[in-house]
Amino acid sequence: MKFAFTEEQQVFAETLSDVFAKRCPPEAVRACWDSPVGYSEDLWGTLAEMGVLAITAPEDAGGLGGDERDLVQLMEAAGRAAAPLPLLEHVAVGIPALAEAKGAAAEGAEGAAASQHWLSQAISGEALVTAGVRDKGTVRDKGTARDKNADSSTQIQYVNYAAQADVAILSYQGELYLADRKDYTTYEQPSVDGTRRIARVEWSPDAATRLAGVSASLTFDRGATAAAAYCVGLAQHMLDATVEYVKEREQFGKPVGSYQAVKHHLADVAKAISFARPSVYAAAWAVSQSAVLQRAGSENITPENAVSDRAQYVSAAKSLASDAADLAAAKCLQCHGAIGYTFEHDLQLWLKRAWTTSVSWGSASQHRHRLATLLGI
Amino acid sequence: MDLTFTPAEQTFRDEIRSWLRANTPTEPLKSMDTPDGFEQHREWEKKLFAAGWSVPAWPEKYGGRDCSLVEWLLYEEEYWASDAPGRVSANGVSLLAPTIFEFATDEQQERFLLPMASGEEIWSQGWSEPNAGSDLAALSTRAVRDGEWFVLNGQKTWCSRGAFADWFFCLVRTDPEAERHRGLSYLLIPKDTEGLTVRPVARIDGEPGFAELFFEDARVHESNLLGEEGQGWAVAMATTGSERGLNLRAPGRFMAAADKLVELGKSLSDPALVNSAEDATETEVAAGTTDAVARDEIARCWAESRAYRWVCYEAAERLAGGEALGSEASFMKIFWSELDVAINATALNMLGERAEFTAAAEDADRGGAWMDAYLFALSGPIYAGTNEIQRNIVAERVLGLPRR
Ligand SMILES: Cc1cc2nc3c(=O)[nH]c(=O)nc-3n(C[C@H](O)[C@H](O)[C@H](O)COP(=O)(O)OP(=O)(O)OC[C@H]3O[C@@H](n4cnc5c(N)ncnc54)[C@H](O)[C@@H]3O)c2cc1C
Repeated sequence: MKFAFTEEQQVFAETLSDVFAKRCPPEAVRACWDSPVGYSEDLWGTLAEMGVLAITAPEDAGGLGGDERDLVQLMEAAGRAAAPLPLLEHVAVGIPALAEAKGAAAEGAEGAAASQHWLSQAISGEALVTAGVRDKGTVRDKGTARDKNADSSTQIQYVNYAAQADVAILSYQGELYLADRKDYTTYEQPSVDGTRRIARVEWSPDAATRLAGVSASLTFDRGATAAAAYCVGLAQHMLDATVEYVKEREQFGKPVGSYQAVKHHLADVAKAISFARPSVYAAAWAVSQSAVLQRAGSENITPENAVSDRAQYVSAAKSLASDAADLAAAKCLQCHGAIGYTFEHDLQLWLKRAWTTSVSWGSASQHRHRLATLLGI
Repeated sequence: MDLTFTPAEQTFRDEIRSWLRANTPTEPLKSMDTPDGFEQHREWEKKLFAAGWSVPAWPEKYGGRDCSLVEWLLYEEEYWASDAPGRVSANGVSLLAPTIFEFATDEQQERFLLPMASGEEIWSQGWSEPNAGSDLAALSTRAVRDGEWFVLNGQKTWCSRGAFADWFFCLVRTDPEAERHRGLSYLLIPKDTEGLTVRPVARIDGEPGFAELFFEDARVHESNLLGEEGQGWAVAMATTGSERGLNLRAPGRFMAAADKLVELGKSLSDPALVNSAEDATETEVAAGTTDAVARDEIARCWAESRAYRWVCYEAAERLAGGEALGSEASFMKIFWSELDVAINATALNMLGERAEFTAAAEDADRGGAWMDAYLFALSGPIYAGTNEIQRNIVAERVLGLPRR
C-alpha cells in the first residue's frame, strides 16, 4: 500500500500549476468567454509542445506512456486555475480510447484505422478530439430523443467542444464510435459558463466506425475521474480565495472571517475537499489498474476484486468531488456577500465552472445511484 | 501510488481475520456499561491480549507486535468487520497509552503498559468538570503539594467507563497563580485512593456509562505524575491529538457499519417486500423499505466511509515518513462522528416502524443494534472536543482565520 505520488509526478504537477498561474490568470479565463473555441489555442499549443497532450498515449504511439495517476494532479491544477481547456475530453478520455482502439485493431474496421490516424494528430495537437460518453446506470444511454421529428436512427447527445473538434468519440448502447466532424451535426447550446462549448450533436451510429475493444464504461470512468479531480481543484481555489477575502473584509470593526458562522462554513468546505481528494486519487489508481488488466484481457483488478470495484471507486470519488465543488461554490459565494454576486468579480468564473463540472460526467446523485446499484442495492 | 496491499500486509490481514473468525464470541456480550457486561468485556480483552491481538501496534515487550500503521488500520478493518465486541479498554489503550509512550518515565511505562494491554487494569479519563467542558483549561480541581504527595480537592464528570474502571487519568490544577494553561498537571489515580468517591451516572441509554469523581483531600503520590508538574496541558494536548486523529476511531469501524447498512438496504429492497405497488402496504412499511432517498443516503455513507479510509491510509504514510498529524486531525473527528450519525439514522429511517425496537423486541433488526449504535453515535459530535470547537480549530489553525 503506497499512497504517495512519485517525485516525477509531483514535479510535473507543480510545473503545470506554474504554467496555469502564469498563462491562465482570471483575465485569460474571462477572455475565453468571447473566443469562438472557448479556450486559449495559444496555451493549448504550449501544452502540446511541453508534451502534456502525450501523457496518456502509449510510448509505441509516440506518447509518454503515462496513466491516470500521472494525470490526476494535472486535472486538479487545471481546476484550481479554472482553466478552460479540452484536457478532459482530449487527454483524459480521447487519447486513451483512440490508443485502445488502435491496439485492438479490429480487422479492416474503419474505426481502428481511423483511430491510428487521429491518435498521432491528437498527440501533436494538430487535431482536437472530444468525447461524449454515457454509462448505463449513471445517465440514460439513449440520448435525449426529445425531437419527435428526428429520424429514429438519429442519436442526440450534448457534447462539449463538439463543433470545435475534428473528431468525436460518442457512445451508443454501451459501445463507442468514432465520428468525424463531417459525420455529425452540431447545434450550439450556450451554457451558463461562457467557456463551455456545448452542442447538441446529432449523428447516426455507423457500425463501421465502432471502436472495437474499447470499453465504454472504462472510458466513461476516465472522464468522471478527470472531472472529479477538476472539481477538487475548483473547490480548493474557491476556498483559498475566500479565506483571503474574509481575512481582509471588515464589518462591525473586525474581519468577517473572525465570525464563527463564516468560519464554520469554510471549515466545512475544507473538510469536504480533504475527504474528496484522496478518494479521487484512489479512483485514478483504480482506473489505471483496471485499464492495465483490461489490456491483458482480464476484467479483474485483483482476483478478489471484480472490475465493478473500479466503478465503485469512481462513483464514490465523483460524488464526493461534485459535492465538494457545489458546497464550495455555495459557501464561498455566501461568504463574499454581494461582491461575489457580480459579473466583474472573478469568483463567478469558478462558480460557473463548478456548477457545470459537478454535473457533467455524472452528477453526485447520479453517481450515488450507480454506486448503490454496484453495491447490489 | 499503488493501493494494493503488499504480501506482508495481506498475510497480516489473513492472520487477524482467521483468529477473529475462530474466537469472536457468537453471542453478543452484555453492555460494557453494566457490571456483568464490563467483566465480560474485560475477559475478552484478556483473550485478545493472550493471542497478541490487544495492542498490535505496541512494542513486543508490552504485548504488541510492533506492526506498522497500515497494518494497524487493516487490523481495525478486520476487527470491526468481524463483529467483535467493543473495546472496554479503549480509553487506556487508545488515549492514554500514546501519552505514556511519549511522556512517561521508564518506571511508569513498566508499571502501567502491560496491565493496560491485558485488560487487568482498565482506565477512564477524568478531564471534564461541571464548569469545564469545551473550555477545558477552566478546570478547577486543585492538587496541592505536600512533600512527595499531591492533595486533591474538586470534582470530575462524564468519565466514560468510570463506574467500573480501575484507574483514572486526570488533569488537575497545581498552580492557580500561573497562566491558566500553565498551572495544570497530569495525574494517574487509582480508584481505591482514599478521599476519592466514584458515583456512577446513567447515560442516555439508562446504563451507568459515566462516572463523577469527587476528591476530598485525596492523596496521590508524585510517582503518578505524568510529564512535568505544570506541563499538564501540553501532555493532555498530545492525548487529544490521538483522540481526534487516527487512534480513537479507525476507519474500519465505519466501513463495517456502512457495509451493514448496504446489507440492510439490500434486504429491505427485496422485491418480495417492496414491489411496484402504488403505495407500500402496511406490512411493507412495518418491515421497512429501501426507497430512492435511502439508496442515495446509503451510497453517500458508503462513499464517505471509504473516503475516511483513504484519508487515514494517506495520513498513516505521512506519519510513517516522520511527519506529524497536525490540526487536520480535527477534520477527521468531524468527519467520522457525523458519518456515524448518518449511517445509523439512515438505517433507522429505512426500518420505519421497527426502528424503535430494543433488543428485547422479537422483531428488532440485529437485536436492536441500530438504535444502540445510533444512541452512541449521537455523542460523537459532543465528546473528544465538540464539532463546533473542531470547526473553530480547522478555521483558525488550518485556514488561518483570525481568532477574534
Ligand atoms: C459519550 C460521552 C463521553 C465522554 N467521555 C468523557 C470522558 O471519558 N472523560 C472526560 O473528561 N469527558 C468526557 N466527556 C465530556 C466531553 O469531553 C464534553 O462533553 C465536551 O468537552 C463538551 O463539554 P460540555 O458537555 O460541557 O459542553 P459545553 O462546553 O457546555 O458546550 C455546549 C454547547 O456549546 C458549544 N460551544 C461551547 N463553546 C463554544 C465555542 N467556543 N464556540 C462554539 N460553540 C461552543 C458546544 O459546541 C456545545 O454545542 C464525554 C462526553 C460524552 C457525550
